[in-house]
Amino acid sequence: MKLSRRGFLKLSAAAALSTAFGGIGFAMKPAAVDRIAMLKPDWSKQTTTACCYCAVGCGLIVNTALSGTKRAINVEGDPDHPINEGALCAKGASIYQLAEGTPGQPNPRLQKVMYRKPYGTKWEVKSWDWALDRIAKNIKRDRDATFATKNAKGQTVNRCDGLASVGSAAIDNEECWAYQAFLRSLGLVYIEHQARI
Amino acid sequence: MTNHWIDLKNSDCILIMGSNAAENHPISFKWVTKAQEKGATLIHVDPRFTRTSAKADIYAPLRSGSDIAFLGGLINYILSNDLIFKEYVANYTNASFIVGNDFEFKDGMFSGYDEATRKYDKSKWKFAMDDKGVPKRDNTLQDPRCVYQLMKKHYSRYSVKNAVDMTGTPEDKLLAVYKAYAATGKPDKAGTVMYAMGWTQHTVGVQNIRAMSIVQMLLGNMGVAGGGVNALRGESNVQGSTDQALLYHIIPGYMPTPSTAQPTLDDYKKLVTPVSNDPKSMNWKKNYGKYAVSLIKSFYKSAEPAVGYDWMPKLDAGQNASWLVLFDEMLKGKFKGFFAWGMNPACSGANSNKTREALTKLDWLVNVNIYDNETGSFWQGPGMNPKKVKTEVFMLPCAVSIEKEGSITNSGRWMQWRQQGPKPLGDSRPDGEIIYELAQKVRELYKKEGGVFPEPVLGLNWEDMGNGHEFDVHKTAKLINGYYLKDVEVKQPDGTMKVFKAGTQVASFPSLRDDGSTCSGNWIYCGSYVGSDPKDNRSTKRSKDQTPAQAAVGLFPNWAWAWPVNRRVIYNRASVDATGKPYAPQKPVLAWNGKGWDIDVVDGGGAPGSVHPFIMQQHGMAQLYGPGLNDGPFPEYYEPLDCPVSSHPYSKVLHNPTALKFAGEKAAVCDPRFPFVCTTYRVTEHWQTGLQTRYQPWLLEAEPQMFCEMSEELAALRGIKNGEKVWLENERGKLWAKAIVTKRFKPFVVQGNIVHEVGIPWHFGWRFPKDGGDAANLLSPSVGDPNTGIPETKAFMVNVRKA
Amino acid sequence: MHSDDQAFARLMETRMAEIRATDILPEELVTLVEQVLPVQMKARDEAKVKLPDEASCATAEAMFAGSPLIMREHFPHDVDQALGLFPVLLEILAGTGGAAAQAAQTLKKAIAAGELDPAEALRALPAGDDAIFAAWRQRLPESPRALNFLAASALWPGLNAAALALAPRVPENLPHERGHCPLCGSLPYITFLRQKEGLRFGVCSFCGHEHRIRRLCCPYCDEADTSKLKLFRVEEYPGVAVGVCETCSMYVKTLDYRELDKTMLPSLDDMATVALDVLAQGQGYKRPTLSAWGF
Repeated sequence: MKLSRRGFLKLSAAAALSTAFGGIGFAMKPAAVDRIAMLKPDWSKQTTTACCYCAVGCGLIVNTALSGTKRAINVEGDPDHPINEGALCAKGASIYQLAEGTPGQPNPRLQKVMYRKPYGTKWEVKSWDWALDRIAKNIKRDRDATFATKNAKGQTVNRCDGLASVGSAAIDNEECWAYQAFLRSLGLVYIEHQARI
Repeated sequence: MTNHWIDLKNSDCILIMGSNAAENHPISFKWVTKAQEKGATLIHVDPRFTRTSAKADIYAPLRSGSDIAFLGGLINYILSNDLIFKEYVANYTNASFIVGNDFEFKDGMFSGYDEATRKYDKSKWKFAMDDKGVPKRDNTLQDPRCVYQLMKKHYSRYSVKNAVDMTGTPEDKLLAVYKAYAATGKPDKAGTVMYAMGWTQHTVGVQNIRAMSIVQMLLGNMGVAGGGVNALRGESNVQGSTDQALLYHIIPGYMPTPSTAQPTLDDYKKLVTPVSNDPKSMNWKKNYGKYAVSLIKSFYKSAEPAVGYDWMPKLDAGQNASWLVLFDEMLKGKFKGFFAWGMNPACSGANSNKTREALTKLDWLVNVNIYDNETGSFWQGPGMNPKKVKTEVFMLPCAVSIEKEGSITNSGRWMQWRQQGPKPLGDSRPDGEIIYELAQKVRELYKKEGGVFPEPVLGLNWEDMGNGHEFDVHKTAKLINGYYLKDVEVKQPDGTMKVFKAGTQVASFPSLRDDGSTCSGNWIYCGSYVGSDPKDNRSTKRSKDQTPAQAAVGLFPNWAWAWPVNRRVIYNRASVDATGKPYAPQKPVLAWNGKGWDIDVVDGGGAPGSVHPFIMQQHGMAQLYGPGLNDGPFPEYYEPLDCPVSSHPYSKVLHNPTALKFAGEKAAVCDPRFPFVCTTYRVTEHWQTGLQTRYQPWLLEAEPQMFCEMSEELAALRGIKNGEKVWLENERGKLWAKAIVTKRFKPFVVQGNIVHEVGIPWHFGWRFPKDGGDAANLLSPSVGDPNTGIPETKAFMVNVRKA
Repeated sequence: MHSDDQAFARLMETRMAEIRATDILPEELVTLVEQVLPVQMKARDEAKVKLPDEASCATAEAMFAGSPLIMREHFPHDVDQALGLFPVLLEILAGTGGAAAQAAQTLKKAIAAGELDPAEALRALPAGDDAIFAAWRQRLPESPRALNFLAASALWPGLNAAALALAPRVPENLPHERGHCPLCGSLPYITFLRQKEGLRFGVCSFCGHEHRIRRLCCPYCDEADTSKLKLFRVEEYPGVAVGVCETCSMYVKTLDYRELDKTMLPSLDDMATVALDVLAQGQGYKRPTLSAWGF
């Protein structure tokens, strides 16, 4: 049964014509009006997410600033989520710190593409374009070098034995699908991840 | 999970074994506690007294690796005391099936074993068929060759004394568990099991779970509210990543990876579509041909299905390309390039020294992560000389969960959509964007330069995953669901014809076709994104609308979407009798209203009694006897490959004869140098190798470093005091830890001897924090289960001494 | 609200001091509420309401589908008590001063002249019959909601007593998918968060029942698409967020009592945060329900 709300909501609409606390005949103090005009609203949005740790799938609400840093202001359990009903474990309750680090300290997350050359002793900062171009060339070079259309018995295998991958249970379904499709289109069979261990 | 998290509250008896749910899946306890408040019994069986044990009504200690002795004893207890749910066992399981004459079990071995290959010939284990090609049955369960009788005979060896002797569980505790759990065999009672890696990480991992599945079938606990076999999966999307087949042995939707044994698409279809001649068996896998063709079309939209199939890589028939084999091959120099995507294998894989050494044999490594980790920085790790390591390493920063949009699938198979909060920090990017852009660059190279077998690289359907430059998560989700590639005319139930236009999303997998007119990236997700509008993405649903009957069992059909077809309790058809009447009328998951089914989405469909309930099985019955596994149709007790005993009372075969092993991997069997059993686990404040949690001061403060829990008795024996530094060592490696001397571990009495066990968490690594310790897996063996290849990281032998 | 007299008196005293300290609302209004609220609280404890039998209430199935337990026009209350409270409240209003006091005098005369029947106003308000109130709003442009205030405030003790008695009839697992009150179907005038999990509740503008509301929704049009909802806070009012809805252009204040760390008194906290109403209205958003006293 679906119920129309119009029937029992008709009175409320009439009320919308006035202002709360303003309809009885006492004007607000003029100085107060000026002070209110000085207040600065900080706008933010709220989005929902599911926890990135175990597979209980607890729901969270992320509150993100719409101006200024535009970073997360708060991350908390979603009280409407039927599984966790707002509760979180210590890890889930710390997701803010996972994303934003500790206020006042440098965020330890990786924020740049890093490169270590063969026999190198240190990391170098690189651009995405540089790194992805080079990885793509490596993939092509080694796929072409190790691709087998037939195995030793002469059976068709159409696979690339020189490349392998592990990962990831930490990425989204759509990303997993795209990733496995990519790897399989290259001919990889050594495709594994967390579920195996 | 066959059931889901909230459903735990419906249980009358919850067995937690191979899991420390209170600490590692803390929110699950919201529902465990609800069940207890309503009178349910909570049982915890574990080597260590944990917070889960503290909440339990019965705690039974058990030596790591002896689970089948414990569970086989439970099966024997149920059978010998005749506590089974008879109607269920006779009608819904293969208990009545007659097994062929070639099957035999003698002294720890099943028939058909080949010493040379260390494999069984499974054709010896087949059922006897009647002249119609249906398994012969004896519904009285009296035939000596029926599954029920063979099982009874097999488990008659699993006496209480033998169980106590091998597990080290005190007899009174063992019997208390058996009694409480077997009581759920009453038709209106439900028992459930919550397990995790404590069962899977063994050379008998699959059989641990099989043994419990047998218990659940005998007691009629499958398909019911508060029942099922529930794997508590440990990563937020490990269910989804498995569904999407980031594994060597399957392609999306749990279909086997093509091998040289199926050179053509027709051969492959034959492999994946079993035949049943029993008219009441739905034998759902008969549809797999449609799913396979639709999958191939999702990969290669423009190619004929047979051509697309040809483009897919093939394993050699019987080839194992699983984790341990992969790193063994890497060590031998097989791979030039390697991706570690959102993983930290240098700490997470068994035998970390071997894994780390293997990474030095690569020409290049791509490491994608949120933080610098032991894998990306392996070349500067302990014992490494960077100047001698050739591997070129790319470390790519990716976004954290709250910065991305997309779906993940929880343990209860709920596909939940995540929205983007803040944008990715710094130069970090969502994984999907990285994958997409890298793939476009590879494709450009093949377009420009040509190359070996370029067709699949050029032909992959990237246009349905993005716009040619950028990844589009909605487009990809729609592709995974699937859509019509051509106009298709379909006859409706009322006889009229309906045309589905090319480009229309497919409503559900029964509509998928094997003529190339539909595509679907994963048939089990067909039904998740059913229209062009983002509102048609059912994983975004957040309504708690439900009927009072649904509310009574905690079923939220409008919150997210569960595969398959939004069914919340799998095998729910087994919860009702042949007339559609629920066995547990006080908590039904399914009810026949005379015209249709209420509450959950029924398994199978049709009127009550019209089909066998286990529709994914060839013969429609739950498999007490499982002739498809590599190590036998009944779970049999074997010791871990590293173990503290030289013999056991069940047979002369000490170890699983088919376990996955590698040359050079040394086992410690009753080796006086390594006298103590060691197991690994997690703590609430850290996760997996600790990479995401070690960098967070809030969490690190609570658990700052590697520790080793040990009994007071062992500490006294080795002169170790609480808080002192100790060394753990074995043939594979050496590790320091802070000693936690505790009553939580107690020595076991095994075959009359004292056996000590210690436990270590696996959250630490040398990279961060300084002085936090290193990976527990430096000590774990690279041996694995013969079915899955999962390493035996839950039971191995070590020495412990004061540092 | 609090029913223990002394504790309530103390609570009200501190909250009134806070409201005065913000120095936003005129003293007459603060005094008015200060006088009215204790009268209402006492009356609620004394109210006599006859609860309908279960057969004349909505079934569990209907409630799961969104129906309130009882439509507001049939919602039980204490008419006799309300009739008795009406002149008491009128006297209080008359003692305030300014336009409100003048309006009170006009109403008094109208009652004496037989032009206004308080019983009619008390019948019309629950029935959703706005004609009589509309007429008086026109006659009293300086204090348009004087009659609404009298009727709403006189009825409230009986309505709230009924709501407290009926609350146990709400099914245990009732989904809270809709913003309206599950008892009477009216909309909340404010929402608040409580318990460490941050459960959100609305306070019904009609019967005062406190009911679960989804965290991410507009309680007025039930929009739950997060791209249509945003919120603002101001530094000077910690623990208060104003949620706005782009679909219906309404706003609602949410008091986070976890952050405020004080005893809940939503009707007065609504009053204490009136600056945020002004701010929200300045941004073009409206509030479809007025204060707990009908003005």
